[in-house]
Parts: sequence; C-alpha cells; structure tokens
Amino acid sequence: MKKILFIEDQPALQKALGRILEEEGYKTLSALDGETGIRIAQKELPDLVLLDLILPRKDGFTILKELKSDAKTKAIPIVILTNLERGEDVDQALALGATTYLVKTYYRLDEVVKKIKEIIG
Amino acid sequence: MENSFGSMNLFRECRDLRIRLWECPPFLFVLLGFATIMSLISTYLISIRYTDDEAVTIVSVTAVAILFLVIGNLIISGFNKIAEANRMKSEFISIISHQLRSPLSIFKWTIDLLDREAQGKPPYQDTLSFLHTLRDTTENMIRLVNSLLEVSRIEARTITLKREPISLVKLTEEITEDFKAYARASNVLLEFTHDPHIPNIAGDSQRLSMVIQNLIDNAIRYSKASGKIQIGIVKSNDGIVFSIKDGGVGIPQIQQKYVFQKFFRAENAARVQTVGSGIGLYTAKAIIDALGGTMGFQSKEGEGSIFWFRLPAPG
Repeated sequence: MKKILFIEDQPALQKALGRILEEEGYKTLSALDGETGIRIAQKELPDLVLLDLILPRKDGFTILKELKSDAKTKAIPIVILTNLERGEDVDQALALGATTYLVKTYYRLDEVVKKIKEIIG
Repeated sequence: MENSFGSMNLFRECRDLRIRLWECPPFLFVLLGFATIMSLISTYLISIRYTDDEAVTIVSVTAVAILFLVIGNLIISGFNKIAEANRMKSEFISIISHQLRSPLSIFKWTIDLLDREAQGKPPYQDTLSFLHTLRDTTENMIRLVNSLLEVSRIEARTITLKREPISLVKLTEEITEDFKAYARASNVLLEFTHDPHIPNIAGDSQRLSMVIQNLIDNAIRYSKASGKIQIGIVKSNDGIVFSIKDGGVGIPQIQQKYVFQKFFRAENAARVQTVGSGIGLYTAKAIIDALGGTMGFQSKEGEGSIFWFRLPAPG
C-alpha cells in the first residue's frame, strides 16, 4: 500500500483529504506543522508528500528545502497544495524541487486524487 | 522620437487614465517648473532694476526659489500619501481575499466528500461530523469578516463604543471558560487570578470580549505544548490592569515594534492563518485606546510574552 504524507495545519482539510485518500487505497500520514512532517517523512519514507505553504513556525518553502536536501527524503515527490497562487510562489516552489503545484480552491477532491495517481499510481 | 518629446508622453499617460489636464501630476510639475523659472527671472530682473545691491538680488531670488521648493515638496508628499493609501488598500484587499480562501477550501472539499452520490458511491455514516465542520468553519468565516469590518471601521473612524459598566472579572471568567476546550486540545493550562473587589469599568462589552478573546487565542496558539497561561486582573493606582502571560515562542526583538500594526504576524509564526488573522492586535489596541486605556507587551523570543492592557476605573 502506498503511503502519502499530508502536511497541512487545518484539521478539517486533513480530515476531508485523508478520508478520500484512504478510500482510494492509500495509507495516509498527517502532520499539522512542518517540523512534525519532516520527522514523519524521515521515519516513514512516504511515497508522496502533499505540502501546504502556509504553516505555523517554519513555512512550507523552508520545509520543502529541508526535505529536498535530506538524503533520506530527497527522492520523495512533493506536491504543493496551497491557496497561494502568486507567480513567484509557484516559481520558487518548482525551483526548490516540487513536482507540481496545486491551488486548493481550483481543485475538487477527486481532481486532487487524479493528480496524485498520475504521480505515484 | 517619442521619448524626446516628453510632453507628448505626459499628456498621453493622463489621457489614458482619463485624468483631466489640470489634475495631471506630470503636467502640473512642468507648469510648476515654468512658473519657478519665470518667477526667478522676474525676481532677478526686478531686483537689479530697483537696487544696486547684489546681496538683495541674491537673497530675493533665493527666497523665491526656496518658496517654490517648499511648495513642490508639499505637493509631492501629498501625492505620496495618496499613493501609499491606495497601495495599502490594494494590499488589504488581497490579504482579505486570500484569507477567505482558507475556509472556502474547507467548504469545497468537505462538500465534495459529502456529495457521494455524484461519485456513484454510497453515503457516509458519519455525515454529522462533516456537517459540524461546515458549521464551525462558517462561524470562523463570520468572525473573520467581522474583524475585517472592524478594521475598516477603525480606519474610517466610524467606530462608536458603548460606555456601560462592566465587570472585567466576570467577562474574563466567561471567556476563559469558553476557551477551556481549545486550551485542553492544545495541551495548555489556562489560569485566571484576580485581586478582590475589582470595580466595574466603563466599556463596550462586545468589543472588550473581542480584545480578551484575541489575547487568549494568541497565547494558546503560540504556546509550546504543555505550557501554562496565566491571566490576571489587578487594581493599579490609575485603573485596572489585565495581563496575560504565556511561556510560548515569544516575539523576536527586531519585530517587536511592528506588533500592533495591521496584519502583523511574527516570522516565527504562520504567515497568514484562518482564524486569528493578525488583525487582532491592531483592532485590540484601537479598541483599548478608544476606551481611554493603554495596551502593551513584553516578550522574549523562546521564553514567552506578557500582554497587558490598562483601563481607567470610573471616578
């Protein structure tokens, strides 16, 4: 079973996305802040990380950088899932190694799942 | 060719923005420039006509030049203020729009999930919990919009505060009670102590509630896990002081001067959040100021903060 780590500080979104991912047969891991997310990623080595950019304490860009520079986690594909949509945010995220960048309000839950399937099957 | 005829460009810019010539800043500056040159030349010519003393000529021409310099600067700073106000308005709008997206995403995905029939799947057993999420998110969004309205009212100075006798102790007790569940969920202990015989103060209970809620919310939000938050109300010689002390992440020294600004959020906290949008402290301070009180804080990064406000006790 493929593992997906969702780093997102809003519990309601964790609940909704977590539920649908479980139904689709993925094991979901959740983290409400970046540092917890990194710890879980290093321990569990998920197949995919979904990362919000606006997080308490360390922001998403910092977490992205750290995940991509840690030997254990750098090969894990990271999908940015955020409501920030300024051009410079997208450019920065992709430059830091994110696989793709999705703006939450533009994607239905099933569309997010479709994107995930495209990346890890 | 276009660039060498600067004046043609100036007029076109104003025409595109549909600004009348007499209101068009570039045109007005050119006019001012000509007026300055004419005045300087006239002053010089008049001076040498009526006096042989060079010093008088120099002084009068310089005086006219300075006069125009001052006028020019006043005009420029006026325009800068307008530009700054417009910039802040656009920024305000873009921040609000962004913050409204957070609860909207929650609505969107929760409803996607609830709408199982669209996906051809059987409905859930626990739809009630999803409905509760929708209800809570609605309340959060209403609070957010209300605090945004408060900010715009404060900006427009149309805020009218009630002045009725209020027991700050009772108000704090009620609010602390409301926050107990959230505090427990965040693994934080809320403690409230107060001096005996605290007199009533003259205030607006709804607005004071907002201030206290904001302070407690911040304290919980920025506390480290298993911390303690101490809320206290004491009498002082010129009023009543409410204080709230947390052992949380604290505010970095270099950012402390920005704490009461609109939308401020310290670097060591999230940039923008759903509830608690950073408007809180700005609004809180404005309310306390309007009630004739003062508000302040002390903070050390990594150790925590104490926020306090003082309100005058009546008579």
